[in-house]
Amino acid sequence: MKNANAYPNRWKKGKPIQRPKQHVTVKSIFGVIVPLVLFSIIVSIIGYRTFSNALLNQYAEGAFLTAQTAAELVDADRMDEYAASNGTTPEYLEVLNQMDHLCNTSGSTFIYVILPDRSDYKHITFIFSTIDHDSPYSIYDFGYVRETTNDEYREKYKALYDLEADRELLIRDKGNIETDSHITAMIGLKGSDGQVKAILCVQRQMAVLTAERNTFLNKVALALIALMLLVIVGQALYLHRVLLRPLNLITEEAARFSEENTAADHKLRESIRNKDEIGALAESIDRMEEQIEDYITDITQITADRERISTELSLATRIQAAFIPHLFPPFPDRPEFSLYATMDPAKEVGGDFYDFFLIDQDHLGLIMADVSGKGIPAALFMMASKIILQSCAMLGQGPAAILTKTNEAVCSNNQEQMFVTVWLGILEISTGKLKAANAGHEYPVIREPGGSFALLKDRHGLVIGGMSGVRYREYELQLKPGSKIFLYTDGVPEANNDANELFGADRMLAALNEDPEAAPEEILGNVRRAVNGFVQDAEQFDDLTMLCLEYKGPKEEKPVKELTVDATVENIAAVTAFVEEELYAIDCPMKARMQLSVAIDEIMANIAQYAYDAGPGPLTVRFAFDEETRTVRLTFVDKGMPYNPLEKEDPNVKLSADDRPIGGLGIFLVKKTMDAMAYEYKFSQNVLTIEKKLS
Amino acid sequence: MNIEQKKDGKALVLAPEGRLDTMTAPQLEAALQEALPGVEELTFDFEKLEYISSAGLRVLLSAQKTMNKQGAMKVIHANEMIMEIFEVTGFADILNIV
Repeated sequence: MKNANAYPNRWKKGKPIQRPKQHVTVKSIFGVIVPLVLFSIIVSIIGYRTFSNALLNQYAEGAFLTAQTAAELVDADRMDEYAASNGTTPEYLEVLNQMDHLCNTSGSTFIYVILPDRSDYKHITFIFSTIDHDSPYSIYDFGYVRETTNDEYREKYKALYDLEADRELLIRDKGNIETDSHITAMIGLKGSDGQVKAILCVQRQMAVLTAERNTFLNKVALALIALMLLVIVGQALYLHRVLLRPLNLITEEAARFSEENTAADHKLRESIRNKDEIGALAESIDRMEEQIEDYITDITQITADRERISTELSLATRIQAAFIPHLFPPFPDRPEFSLYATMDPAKEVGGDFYDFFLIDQDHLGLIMADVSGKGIPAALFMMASKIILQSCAMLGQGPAAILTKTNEAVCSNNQEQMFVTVWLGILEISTGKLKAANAGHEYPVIREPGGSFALLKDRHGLVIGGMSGVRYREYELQLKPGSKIFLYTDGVPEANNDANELFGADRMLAALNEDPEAAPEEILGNVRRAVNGFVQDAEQFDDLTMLCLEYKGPKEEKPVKELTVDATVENIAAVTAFVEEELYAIDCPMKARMQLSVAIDEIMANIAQYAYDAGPGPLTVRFAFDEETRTVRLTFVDKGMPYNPLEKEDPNVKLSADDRPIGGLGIFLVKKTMDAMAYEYKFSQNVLTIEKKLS
Repeated sequence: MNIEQKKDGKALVLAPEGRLDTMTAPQLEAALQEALPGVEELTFDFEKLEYISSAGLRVLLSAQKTMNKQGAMKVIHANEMIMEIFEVTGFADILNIV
C-alpha cells in the first residue's frame, strides 16, 4: 500500500450557502402589521361612527334647544297677524329682534319661521328670518317664497303638520347643497288648538363638528402609527433575538460544516440557549455534525481499506496468473506434443489451476486441479497445492505416489478442512505412455487418433486433503500420434445459464467434437465459445479452466549413443574409449577431447568410489552432440545412493603445498573445464550431465 | 603406463608417458615410493604426458610435500593442457614449473 494518504476527503463540497434575500423578521412583521392595520381601521371606523353620531346628536340637541327657545318668542296663534304684518308691525319686529339675538348667541347660522304651502308643501313662505351676522350668507326677507329644496324637506314639513312628529332633523352634508354642510332642526309651532301653525327651523353649520371629528381622527391615526411603530420595533427585536440570530448561527454553522466537514469547536448549543424548537434544531445539528464526522472518518477508513484490498487483490491475481505456466507454446523445441491451457477465474483470484512441466527430458507432468471454495482462501490453498504437487512430481515418482505424498503433506496442516481435486498424469514423451491418477477430479476426455472425444471414466480416489493415509491408484494409457487429452474443471460442465440449466458433459463433448482434428488452442476456443453461447448473460459462477494436449509421437532422432558398464575404476578406459571414438567422429579439437577425458576420469572415479556400497553397480554413459551449438553432452546415470557431487565445496586453491589436503580436486576440475554441469536425482537414479562446447 | 626413470646420484628424473589419471596415478605413486628416498633433486619431465587428472595431482602434491623436507622438486615440459589444469587448481603456485 504505497499511499494511504492519497485518499483525500471525498465528500463533495456543495455550493456555498448564500445569504437569504428575504428575511423572516420582515415577513413576520408584515404578517403582524397587516392584520393590525386592518383591525385598527375597523376599530377606527366603528369609533369614528360612534363618536360622530354622539357628536351629531349632541349638536342636534343643541339646535333643538335653540329651536325651543326661539319657539317661546313666537306666539303661534298670532301667526296670521305676523303674516299680514308685512314685517313692519312693532310686535313682529320685537319678535324678530329677539330671534336675531338668539341666533347670534346660540351659535346657529339661521333661525327662521316658514309657512309651507300646505297643499303640496312645494313652496314655503318665510315669515321670520334671522342670521348669524358673522356668517357669509344672506337671508330671505319677510314674505319671500321659494321652492322647497327637496322631497326630504317636504316629507318632514308634512310630518310636522300632520302631528306625526314633534320635531325633525335634517342633515345636509353630501349631495348638492347650497351652503356648506349643515343640520336643520325643525319644530312645529303649535297654536292653542294644538294645530301646527308654522314651522321653526334652526340651521347650524357643521364646520365645527367636522373640525372636531378631524381632530379625533388625527389623534386616533397618530396613536395607531405610534402603536404600530412600537409593535414593529418590538417584534423585530424579539424575533431577531429568539428566531433570526439562532437561525443565522445555524445557517452559518451548516455552511461551515459543509465546507470543512469537521465538527465545530464551539457547539451551537453553547450560543443558542432557546428551549424551543430552535433549541432542539441547534442540538440536532450539533449531534448530526458529530455523527457525520464519525461517519466520514469511518467511510474514509473503509474506502482506504477497500482500495488497499482491491490493489492487493489485483496484485494477487497477477501473481497467481504468473504462477501457472501461461506462455504458449510452452515447449517450442518439443515437437513430440503440443499443449494449450486457459484459466478464467470467476472472481479476481480462483481456486482452479492447471500445470505442466518437464520432469526430465522424457517426462511431462500434467495437472488439472480444483480447490474447494473460491476467492482468496481458495487461491492460497491453490498456490500451496500447486507447489507441493510439482515438488512431489519432480522427485520422479509415479502419479499415485505423488498424489499420496501430496495428500499427506496437505493433510498434515489442513486446519480449514479445505481440499483439492487433482487429475495428475505423467507422459513418457518418447513412448506416449501416460500414467495417471485421479483424486476426485472430473473424468478426463480422451480422443483416439481419427476418433471422437469421449469421457474416460477412470477410477477416482479421495480428494487431496480429505483424509490422511489415503492410497491412490494409477492407470496407464497409451497415447498414439494424434491422440488428444482434454482436462477441465467442473466450471465447464457446470456453467449455467439464466434458466439455471447446466452446460453439461454432453454439450462439452459436442463442442470438443466440433473439430476434433483442430489444434489444442482451437479446441479450447471451441469449448469456450460453446460455453459463452450457452450461458449468455448469466454471471460466471465458477472458474473455467481447461487444458488440451495433443501427442504427436516420438521425435525421430538418431539413436542415443550410450554405454553401460559396471561402475569401476577399471572401466574408465572403456568409457573414455567409447567417448573418444564419438569425439573423433565429430572432429573434436584435441584440447576439448583431453578435458572431456579428464572429466570422465574424475566423474567415474567418484561414482566408483561412492555410488554402490555392496559391489559395483551399473553405470550408463550417454553421448549426445548438438550440431547447431556444437555442444557435446555426456550423461552419467547410476542407480546408486543419492549423491550430488555439485554440493561438495570447492577446494581452496590458494593454500601452500604443505597445507593443502591430498584430493578433493576432481569435481572442481570438471566444473572449471566444462561449460555446464548439472545433477538430478530422479526415478531413483543419479543423473549427472556435463556439457562442453567445441570451439 | 610407461614411466621413464633417470637417476644420477641424488637427482631423479621421472618422465611418465600418456595419461596420468585414476588408473595410472598409482603406478607413478609406487615408482616414487621406491625411488624417492635419498633424492634431493626431483624432476618431473612431462614432455610425453598428455594430460593429468586429479589423481595425478594428488601424487604430485604428495611428492612436493616430501621434497619440501628433503630437497627440491621441479616440473618441466608441461603442455598447455596440463598448464591450464595447474593454473585452475592453484598448483601453478605450489610447483616449481620450469
